[in-house]
Amino acid sequence: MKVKVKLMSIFAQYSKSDKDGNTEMMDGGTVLDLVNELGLPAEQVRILTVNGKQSDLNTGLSEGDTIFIFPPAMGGG
Amino acid sequence: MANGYWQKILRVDLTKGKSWVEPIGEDVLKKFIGGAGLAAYILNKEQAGKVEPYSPDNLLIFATGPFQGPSVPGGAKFSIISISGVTGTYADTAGGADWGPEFKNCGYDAVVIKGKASKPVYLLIKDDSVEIKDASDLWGLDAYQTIDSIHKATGDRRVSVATIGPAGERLVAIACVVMDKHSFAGRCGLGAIMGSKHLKAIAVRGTKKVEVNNPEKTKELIRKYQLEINKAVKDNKFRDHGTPMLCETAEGLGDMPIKYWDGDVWPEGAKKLGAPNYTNVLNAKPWPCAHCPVGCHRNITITEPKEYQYKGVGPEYETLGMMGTNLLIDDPKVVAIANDIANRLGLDTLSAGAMIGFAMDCFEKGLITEKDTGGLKIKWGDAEVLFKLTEQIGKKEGFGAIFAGGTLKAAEKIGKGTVEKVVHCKGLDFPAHDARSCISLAPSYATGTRGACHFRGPCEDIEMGGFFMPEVGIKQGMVKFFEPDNQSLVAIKCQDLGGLVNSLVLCLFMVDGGSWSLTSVTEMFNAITGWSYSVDDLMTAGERVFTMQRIINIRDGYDGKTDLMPKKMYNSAKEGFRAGKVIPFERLMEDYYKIRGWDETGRPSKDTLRRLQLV
Repeated sequence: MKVKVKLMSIFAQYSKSDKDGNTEMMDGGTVLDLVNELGLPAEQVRILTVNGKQSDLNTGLSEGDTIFIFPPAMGGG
Repeated sequence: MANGYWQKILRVDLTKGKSWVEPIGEDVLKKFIGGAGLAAYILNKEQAGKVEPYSPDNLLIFATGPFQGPSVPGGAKFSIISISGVTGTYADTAGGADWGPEFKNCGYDAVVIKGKASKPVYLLIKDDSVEIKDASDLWGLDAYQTIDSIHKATGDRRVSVATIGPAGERLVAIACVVMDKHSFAGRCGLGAIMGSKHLKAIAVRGTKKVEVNNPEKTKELIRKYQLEINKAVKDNKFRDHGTPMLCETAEGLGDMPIKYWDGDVWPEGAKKLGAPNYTNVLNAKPWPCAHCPVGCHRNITITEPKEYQYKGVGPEYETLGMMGTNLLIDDPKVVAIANDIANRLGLDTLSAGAMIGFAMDCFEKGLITEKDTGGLKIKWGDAEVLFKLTEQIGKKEGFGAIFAGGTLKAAEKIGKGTVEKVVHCKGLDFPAHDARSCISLAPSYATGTRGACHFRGPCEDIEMGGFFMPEVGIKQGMVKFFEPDNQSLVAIKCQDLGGLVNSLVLCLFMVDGGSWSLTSVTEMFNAITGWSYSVDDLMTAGERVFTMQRIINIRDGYDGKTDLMPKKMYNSAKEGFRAGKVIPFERLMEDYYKIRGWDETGRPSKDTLRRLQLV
């Protein structure tokens, strides 16, 4: 299935979006499946949203979902 | 003697031109640890009531803790403590570079300064030699020129210098203290307290070594933690990119200030200011303090355009927020130049950015006009306005002079309802973190002993997944954005951590970013002192330090009535991650007071004071 994935800051290098901004992933997969398919280090994925709502690695995904994945915020100063 | 300490306080009376040494008891150090904790103990004991910040009676304290003796990772720190001219409250601010260890190696734990010199002076401390030297030829120089001049005069470039620039001399309330052209004790304006005492700088060079309880174990732990932290900051890229790495995460989660807290989203701006763009455009490299494996400070080089050519320290996330997105400026080179202007003048870049944002907001709404500003059109996103106003604020000149007492006092002068626009707690401008996003910040800012500060309680980084403290129950997933459960507990544990690290004194980034656990911090503390503390013992000491600071503020009239959120924080976003959300402030404060063991007026109960051994 196709989802829209926005990888922020230093995670951007893992993007596999096509020219229309879609990413192909396994049907009915979770965020963890997506993260593994992208090759993102899962232990660093702590903050993400699915369709604008805070979610986690176990969240199930559907065709057309929009996922934002942020690097953890550290050293806030 | 207590290991890790000299048990010696250097006392300086600038009015009398005298210095002497006094002992400090082991019992005090066991309870208050050092640094900000030791200073809070001294302020409470020696100042019977409210002190006018710029009066000679106000004490100014530079203090170290047990982590400044051996080469502890993140131990190249110290605390500066006084009553602030911005807030009128207790204030501490942390400095880095080489000053803390150099001072400790002179053979003292802290220097307590009172009085006012009749003419400008600086302190030169070299081991047992303490000189109050004439600084007439330094007065008027910027911070970097002062450092160069002292190096030339002493003939020793290893002398570490903590100095003020023209802003501190002119009692600009947000003046900072500058260390070695590299580190800036920015918040709360303690540079102006130095200026009020005619104290231009404190230069230090020490060759002594304080005894530690278990030298072999201490050495072994230092090696081990250097390697562990080094690996952590390589893996999470914190070393490569520093705090600018935070920009896109903060903006995406509604945490970054935009258009003086009225904007909701600006992903393009955050992307340009943040890493990796920052790292590439500014050719940024890590610039570590002494024996630091993190190296969060940025050493940058700008070659083009010609008028922006620059090499030196680069802006942190906070400055990118307050002088960048806050002003609708998205060019990291522009923020870097403004940052440099502020650094040389000795000015807190966060509050300077807040002041300029406030001025842009007022100008847009016609509340101030070109008649007020000397013809300057204070428009959003204008780099030249940023440079000009930073300079005017630092030099107390032109329209910028209106900010000499802080943003709140400027608004009081302007009138027209502008006081309600100021985004502050207890007079201290917000840093670059929005309490409407990570709502644990709301009780943390409101009760912050130095006003609105994310750094005396970095709870936003818990919520945004940056670090956790499982030993004291702070775990991943225990707070959810916008939901009040556990938020006040997270705020409290982070404030206690702030009290602890600023007393040890330890750079917060070893824990928040460097992945150093509280268990490891405790292990290091015990190897140095030989005191067999548990994690809970140390965190209780942090709580005791925070509570002592609160007691000083209550003494001076800052009780629960001043635990407030500014009006703009009650406005919801129209778009973005926090669209439509409001801070459940009453619920959060109710939880906060209850967990702290404070009564409804915000005073610690007798039981709480007894538990913390403060009665």
